[in-house]
Amino acid sequence: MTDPGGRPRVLVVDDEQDVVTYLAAALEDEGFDVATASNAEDAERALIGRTPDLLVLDIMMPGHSGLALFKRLRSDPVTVGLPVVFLSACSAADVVSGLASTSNGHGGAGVVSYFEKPVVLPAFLEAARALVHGAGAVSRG
Amino acid sequence: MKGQDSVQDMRIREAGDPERLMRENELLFERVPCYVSVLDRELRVVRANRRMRETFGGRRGAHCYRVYKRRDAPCLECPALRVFQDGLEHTSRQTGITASGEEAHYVVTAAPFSTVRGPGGTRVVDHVIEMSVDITHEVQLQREMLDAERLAAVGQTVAGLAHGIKNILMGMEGGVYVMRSGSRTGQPARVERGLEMLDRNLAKVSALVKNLLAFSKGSEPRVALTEPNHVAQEVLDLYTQSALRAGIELRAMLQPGIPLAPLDAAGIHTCLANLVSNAIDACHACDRPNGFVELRTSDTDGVLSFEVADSGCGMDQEIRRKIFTTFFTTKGAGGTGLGLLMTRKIVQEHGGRVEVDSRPGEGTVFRIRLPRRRLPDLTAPVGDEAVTAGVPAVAASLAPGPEPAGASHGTSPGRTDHGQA
Repeated sequence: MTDPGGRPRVLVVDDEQDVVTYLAAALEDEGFDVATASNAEDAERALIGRTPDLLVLDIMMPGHSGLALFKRLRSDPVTVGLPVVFLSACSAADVVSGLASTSNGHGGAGVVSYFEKPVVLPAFLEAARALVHGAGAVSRG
Repeated sequence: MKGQDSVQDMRIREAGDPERLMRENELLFERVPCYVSVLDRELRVVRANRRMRETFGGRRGAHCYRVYKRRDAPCLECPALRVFQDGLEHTSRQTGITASGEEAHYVVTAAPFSTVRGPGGTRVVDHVIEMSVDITHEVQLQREMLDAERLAAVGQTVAGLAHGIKNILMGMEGGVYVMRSGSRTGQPARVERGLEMLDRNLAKVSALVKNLLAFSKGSEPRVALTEPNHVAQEVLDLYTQSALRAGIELRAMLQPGIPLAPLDAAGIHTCLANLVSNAIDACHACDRPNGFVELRTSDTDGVLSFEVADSGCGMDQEIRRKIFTTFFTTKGAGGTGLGLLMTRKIVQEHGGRVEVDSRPGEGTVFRIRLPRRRLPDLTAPVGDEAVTAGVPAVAASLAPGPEPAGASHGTSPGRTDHGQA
């Protein structure tokens, strides 16, 4: 749901406040309208009634994990196609196996990308832009 | 019955053909699949079976310690010598060297073989039979398993450490980005925020390294007569406000009149602070109404117990299995993964153990059980100073305080958790 000014909207979810601050600043500088949440439950509340154009989602968080939230979003017709960029300090292999066990292959419908922390910012921003503009596919950074 | 027939048949043969029986016994001695030798009182091998000769070599009349181990003197724990002394059977585990120079592990049982009449008419053992079962293969398997476990533990530790450092690195990179972009666009407030991010993450990496060192070295426990309830009360006082702020009730259920116990008060304080801090976080993460954490003490049947119960979301079997693993945390970037590990280490130093009862959706109880008879000895003279009414200053610096991670804890484990992610 792009904002009235034409800026694509992104929701950044991470329990680490400095990561949220960092990515929110970088995405705002790139022209995104950024909302943030520090856990899966807050993110779910933020998603009600206002689906963003992109979700940036940490995997390991207190309470429900990012993968658990992702699974719920994929089972909801409203958010089933929402592009998601996963963030994780885990290795890419762990993330892929988590995704595979969460749903069919790479998360079912919709496009998914994942980045290992610390992210390479230009690659992360490029993936975010590509996903929002529909050019994304399953990719990693 | 068939078994009886066989016995009868053998008796007939024994009675009928003593030469054949001798040949059979000889074959039995030669072919039994273990090392058999007969030793005289000077520990010389007077007979050895085929397996023994083929494996260890050695000539008839050589000393057993020479044959088995290439030694020039009897072994320190020689079972044969003990048999010569007391006439009883003795077993021990030994490591020898084969004729081809390889290590051989075996369990040897030595028993009297023949006796002679000694001085005063008593019978003394003049020959000993030794029978050894080779366990080299089992020992090697055991070593390989231990090596694999050690490697796995190292791998887990390194992976956990990398995980923690990656989060900190990203915070630092974020600080640099925010500072630079603030400077470029002329926003002093943003520059300041970037600096704060850098500061915070530098403090985190510093705390991580200090905690690692503290954990690897361990600290010398200072055991003094301590009032268990006072330590519990100190921890309750420390966390009451932060629990309230999180909307969680911190309750006390302390059994009155628990006698003094020899404890490292600072260590126990650290354990309870870890558990209470974890419990508050568990309730907070669960987001249920009327969350509570209860700290209990008891002293029954010679066991001093501390319990921390919470109304959080509980843990499934997978998490329960991992919580005492280095760097495991369920707290994302908020945990170091060392809290429960340190708790268990301190409790073990007190001769006790940590138990966990938890089910998903039903909260968690951590229980520290300290059998009084296994508590450590006092390390300070018993006097007014040694009786710890409260917690010495060092405890406060070791315990995770209710402040946010990286605030001002020095050697503190920072936030702790159910193992920590």
